Amino acid sequence: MSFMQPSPVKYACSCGILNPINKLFFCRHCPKLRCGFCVCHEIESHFCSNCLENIPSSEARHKKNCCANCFDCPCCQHTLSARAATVPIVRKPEEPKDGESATEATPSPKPSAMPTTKKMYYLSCLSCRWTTRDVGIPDQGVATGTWPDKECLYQVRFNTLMEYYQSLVLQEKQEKQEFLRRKTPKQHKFPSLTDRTGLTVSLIRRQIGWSDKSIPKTKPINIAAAEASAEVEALPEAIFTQPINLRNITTVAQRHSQPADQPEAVSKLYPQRRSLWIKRSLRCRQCEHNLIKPEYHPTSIKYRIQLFASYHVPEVVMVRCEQPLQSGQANAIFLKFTNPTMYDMTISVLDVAPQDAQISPDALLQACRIKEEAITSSPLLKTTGITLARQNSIREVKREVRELANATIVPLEGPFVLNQRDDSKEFDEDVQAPTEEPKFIVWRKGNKVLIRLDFTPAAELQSGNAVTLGFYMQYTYVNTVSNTPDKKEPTTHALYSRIFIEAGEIANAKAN
Amino acid sequence: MEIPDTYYSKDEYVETASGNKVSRHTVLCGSQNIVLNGKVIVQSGAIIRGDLANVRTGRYCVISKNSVIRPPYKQFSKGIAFFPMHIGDHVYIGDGAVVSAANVGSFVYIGKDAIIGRRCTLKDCCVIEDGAVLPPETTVSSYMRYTAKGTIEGGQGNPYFVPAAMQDEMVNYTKSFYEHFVRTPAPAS
Repeated sequence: MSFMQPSPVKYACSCGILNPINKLFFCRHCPKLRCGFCVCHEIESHFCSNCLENIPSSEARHKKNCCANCFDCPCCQHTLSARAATVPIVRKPEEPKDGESATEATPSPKPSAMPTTKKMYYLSCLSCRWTTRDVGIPDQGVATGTWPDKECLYQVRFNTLMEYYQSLVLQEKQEKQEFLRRKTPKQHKFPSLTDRTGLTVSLIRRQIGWSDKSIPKTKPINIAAAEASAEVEALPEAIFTQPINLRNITTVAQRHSQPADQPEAVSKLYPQRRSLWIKRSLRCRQCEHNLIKPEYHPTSIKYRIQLFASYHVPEVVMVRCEQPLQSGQANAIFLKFTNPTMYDMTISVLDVAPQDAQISPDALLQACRIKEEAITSSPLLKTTGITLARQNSIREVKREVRELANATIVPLEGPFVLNQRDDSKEFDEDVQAPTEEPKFIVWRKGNKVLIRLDFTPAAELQSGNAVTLGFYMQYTYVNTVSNTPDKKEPTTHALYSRIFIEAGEIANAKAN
Repeated sequence: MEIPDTYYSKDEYVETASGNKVSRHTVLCGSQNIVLNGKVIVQSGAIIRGDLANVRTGRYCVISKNSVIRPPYKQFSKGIAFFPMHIGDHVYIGDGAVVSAANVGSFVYIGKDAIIGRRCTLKDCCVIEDGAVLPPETTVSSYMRYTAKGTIEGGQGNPYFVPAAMQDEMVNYTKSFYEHFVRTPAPAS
């Protein structure tokens, strides 16, 4: 059984989506489970996945999110690699015999009498054997950096359009600001020097010798609108008479990978610059704290902030089921609980939601408010004059977890304690004193406990139906971060999460 | 899901002082050039071509059944040369995989029947899907998944492809694989 397979144990995220624990995060400030769906994804850094070079975001934008050195094969979209070939350079007035235009590209300034060889580079795909020589691109003297870009036919048009729309956006923004300023009521009776409008103000300002404050309005440049024409060129004669050779015609994927000209013939394929990849940082939407923040460097695998659920929430692993599953017959499942934190946990397995387990809404509000204040007090935002109360992208919408369970569990008689994690225990001799344990605990070692949970699959299940059992796991969580500066000691929360386990399928009745 | 115990017979496997468990039914060519850095499992049918160049693996690697570890070569104008191959810690190489990479980082998962072409570079924490074929000289960077279709997907911080805690996942997986790879208990006499 590989860990790449989907896990039978799923946790319900606070947004209501079921996920295995390795796809969940735990916001310590909320404190709640978060999944990839209910967090904010942000770009941390751009890099090229082939040459592993970090590219700053401004440069990435300038280069249209493409790597300067790496190319993709236009034929199979794999990465091209530079190949070296030695080409004889004949210093004679006539063209070299092999017809390679390579020597033309780099003519040597001083002619020498004896023939020399020179290393020339071409790009080759090691996946589909496509090379730049196939389409007649001249070889280059340097391996990287000198490959010319194919100029798009409509580049000039695109640039003017882009300029136009950028200035349009700017104009609209200015108009909106003007409108807002007019709408807001005057705070003072008397005109202030910093006011922007009003004849008196401009008079006073002029008397003092200050410049007029009004910014000249930007006017979008005029562009010629595109014209549609009904006249289409007639198809060439050859298309009706010549048989089509599909080997010379590009596929849809090949055309899409070259969107500027979308060539029809294989001979028009051209190496495409490789698009950049990003590292993401994830942010809790509710309190805007980072959940994960990778390190900047492309080869680094570390995180500056990592709030994985598996570091904070007890992990439940399904070990095995006692007997083949029969509908309506009592069965038992063995579950291994692991405590990943440095504090002891008290865990109870319940079949109904605990009432007092919810974190008080006041504390949550406070956490959010602190964060908002931090944002509003930043000087950058103040100067730009953006509406300061930053909108959280989504206020928490409590979604009900779909009732998946089709088995009834027998809740454990009482809570049990899960010892703290201690990495040094791994090397200790196992001399744990046998203590009085509840009956359901099968085995205990370090921070791990194996429990036996009785359950009964629903009676109406047919053979072959999947049996899912669900329960609430309530656990105590010691939060070491505190939102208020005066309180230093860690606080203990009683949290719970819903867990669903796919125990397996109902066995064939005949097997009994 | 807990990894079930895998049992091996005492005659089949050799256990070294550093905890390596190497099957006798393997082809280890040039064994003086093969360094297994401890707690490595080499299962039956695996081939490691140490005669071509040095092969080094880190700790807690799993080299599954019928896989082939073959140092990469490069063609020069005057013949070919083989390069040493380095495999990091906590690397899982699936059944029947052929690995000819120049470098395999740590915490890498290579699925079964995957073929890694010569001089590929697999960075730390990447995943090669079952049955994927990597053309020569491919780079798979960290937290990327190379699919059987031949595309690369994922990236660090993307929660949908390679788990964000790939490092811990691989450490847990390879360690528990080692712990659950146990000798068949002697029959009670």
